[in-house]
Amino acid sequence: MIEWLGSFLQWFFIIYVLCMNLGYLTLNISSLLSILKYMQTRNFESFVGISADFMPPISILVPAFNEENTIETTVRSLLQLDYPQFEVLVINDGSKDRTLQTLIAAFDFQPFPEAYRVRVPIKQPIKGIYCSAEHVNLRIVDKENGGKADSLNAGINACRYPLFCCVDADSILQRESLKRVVKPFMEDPRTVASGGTVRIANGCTVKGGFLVNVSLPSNFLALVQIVEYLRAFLFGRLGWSPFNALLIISGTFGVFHKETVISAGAYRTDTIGEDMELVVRLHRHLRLTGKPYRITFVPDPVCFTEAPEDIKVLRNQRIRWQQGLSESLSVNIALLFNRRAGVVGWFAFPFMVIFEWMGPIIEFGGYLFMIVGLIFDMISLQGFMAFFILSVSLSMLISVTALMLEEMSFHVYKGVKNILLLFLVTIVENLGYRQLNSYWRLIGLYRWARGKEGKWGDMNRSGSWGQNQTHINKKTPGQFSS
Amino acid sequence: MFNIKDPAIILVMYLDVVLLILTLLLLALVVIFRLRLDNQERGRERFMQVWQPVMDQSMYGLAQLVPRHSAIRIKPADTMNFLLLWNRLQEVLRGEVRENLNAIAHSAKIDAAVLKMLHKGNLSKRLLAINTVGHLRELSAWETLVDIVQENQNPILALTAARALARMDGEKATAVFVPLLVLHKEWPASHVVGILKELNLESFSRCLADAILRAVETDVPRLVRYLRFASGETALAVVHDVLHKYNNAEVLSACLYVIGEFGDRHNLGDVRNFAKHHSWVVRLQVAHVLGKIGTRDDIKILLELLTDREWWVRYRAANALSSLPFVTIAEIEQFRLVQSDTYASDALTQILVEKRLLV
Repeated sequence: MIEWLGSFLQWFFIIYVLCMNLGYLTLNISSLLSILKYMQTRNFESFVGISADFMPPISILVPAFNEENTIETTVRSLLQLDYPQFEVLVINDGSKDRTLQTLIAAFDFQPFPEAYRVRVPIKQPIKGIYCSAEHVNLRIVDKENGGKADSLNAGINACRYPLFCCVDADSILQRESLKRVVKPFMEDPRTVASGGTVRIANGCTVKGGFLVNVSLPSNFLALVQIVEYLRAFLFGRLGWSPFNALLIISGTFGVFHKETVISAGAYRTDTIGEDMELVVRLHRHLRLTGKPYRITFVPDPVCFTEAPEDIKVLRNQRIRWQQGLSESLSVNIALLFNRRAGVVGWFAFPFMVIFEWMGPIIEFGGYLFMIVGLIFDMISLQGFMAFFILSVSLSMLISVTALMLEEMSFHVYKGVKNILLLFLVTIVENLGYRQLNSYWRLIGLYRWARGKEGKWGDMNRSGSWGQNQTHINKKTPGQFSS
Repeated sequence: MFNIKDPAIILVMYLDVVLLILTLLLLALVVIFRLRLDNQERGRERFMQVWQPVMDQSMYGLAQLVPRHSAIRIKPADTMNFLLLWNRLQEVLRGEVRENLNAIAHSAKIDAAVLKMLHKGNLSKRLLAINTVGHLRELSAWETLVDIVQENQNPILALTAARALARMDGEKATAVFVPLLVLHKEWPASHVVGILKELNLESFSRCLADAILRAVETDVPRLVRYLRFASGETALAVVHDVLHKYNNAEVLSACLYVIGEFGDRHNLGDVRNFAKHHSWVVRLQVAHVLGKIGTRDDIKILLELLTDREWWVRYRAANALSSLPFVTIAEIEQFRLVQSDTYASDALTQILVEKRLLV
């Protein structure tokens, strides 16, 4: 019986790992084709300007909680974005520090009697609205603390333009970021949401809120996250985009069609992963009502964000992410195998459920099975090693293909030395980090199953880049960081 | 017991070997990509050191010819670098300077190279070649470019070719482009606009007007939006006809926008008729246009729109009132005080503060 069970589990894990990686490799091919197509016109379009006449105006929503260190630099850099018409709305979500006072002093904000209309219900009341006397396109919505989703909903109510862009208060954008992410809206009027690639800012140099030099960080955790982000964005997301089955647009930087978001119910305030949940719900809402739409991903690195370099912060982040993912998928389960759900319901959603949502259980179970099998002599050392090498080599193959996509497109990290260092990271991450990550994700899953409400935790941001010129080398992310 | 003879273990071991070899091959490929890129970058830097000063001089008419020095001839490997630099400059410069750049290109015999590139090569090379022949006004490429636009295998390629045609001969290009514009709904307006600005204004206005009057209702709003790049007189005549022909909110709103761009008091009759239209999008446009060309008689309509059930119409009406040159802040204050409608009063309060902040 034990032998039979062992044999079953062994084949189950082999087939699971193979299916997962086959899925990733398929996404990889899809990404490869997308990148090749995209890069053929990108260079040309960078100088043969797209006319500003039909660029839709955008409201940039910046939810802020205790951001006094970075908020001024963030807003100044947003005001310098290269885009014809936009407004910036900072939503001060009951900050306990001097976020509001810092903004008022820096931009000469005056109380503003806005005819505020409630199109999306909000949990916490608005205390006041301010408009800058220096920049007429800059306002603050000051409200009681209600969380990031509640802040974004308050921002949606106050924003004036047909598209809105949510930006984390610690995001570092490129001057061209908005133009790049809004391009799908101009090329296809069915577009309702668009996201871009988020990269790790650790190790980079920032001046005036903009990135001036990209290099690799010295911290191991930050290095591993660079490889993770490359994998996640360059094929995890880009791969699904051509099939209109992208399930995640990072809350760090994404553009949405306001009326569509409102008709789908805007951000849910009872979930910790409000960014992913909104995108999955948009799919559900639009697929099931039969409305034509596109949710698109732009491979350009449009936004840089600081990654945690502290193991405790990273642990909390990963637990939250898994909890958020579980919530997003479980509340939109109606999409799964729905006859109207197309590629999203029949491929992307099940893929997410089996390999991302349930992944930690199976992955952790696999490790446990191997160890128990080895201890109780159910599996030989050679067998154990063969399985372990399979897991490592598949992970390395996926990571190296991500590195290849990066080299074929944006080659942000210069020099052969950097590539070899990142390759080394793809090996080393399998010796402890990956297992630890699975464990954290398992905790996230457990917390979701227990119905434990996710908390962002009260963390202080370093604000190191909020200076004139700074080399980013450490991170303690703020409450609203994704 | 699973040992080395177990078929599953054997399968896994084979997979391990295959995957590791594949990974190492891919890594080698990545490194080769990087080395090639570094090499290209060095080549580009060398090219720029030589050619940037030549281009700079040519812009001021100091270097109309490529110097005969062998180091300064364009090597085949540098053709793309030359085209990128040359086209970048052409896109940002205006007037005589462009002719000087053309002289440099002719002198470097780049025209012959790009004519070959029009037919073969990858998309990025073809795009550059098409753009170049457009700037050079290389009429021998006319038929090829017309074919590319008509075939429309790729919208970006087709629109780049259309722009090149417009640069060569704005009048002839209008006859080719406008009928296709009606057909190709998928062409992004943001790309189309760049072409419209290069066409001959009179012939484009005439062609577009004809196309709109003959178009099916679903195509009309899209085409009317392009009227803002036509001559004002023709545009106003067309929207006058269209406004009396359709009751579609999208069409009406697009027409009213055009009146806002070109119209004057003579067009007010067309606008006022729609102040009570059932669609708020149309009423919003009415408020917007009245704010631009309205007279004292229109204050009454705007005050009514201030009590509209749609927030945006109220906001635009308040904006329109404040933008009428003959309405003072004191008058707006007075309108606010006598408002019995809270929403109207709120909209005016907001506008008053906005005005003060702007001052």
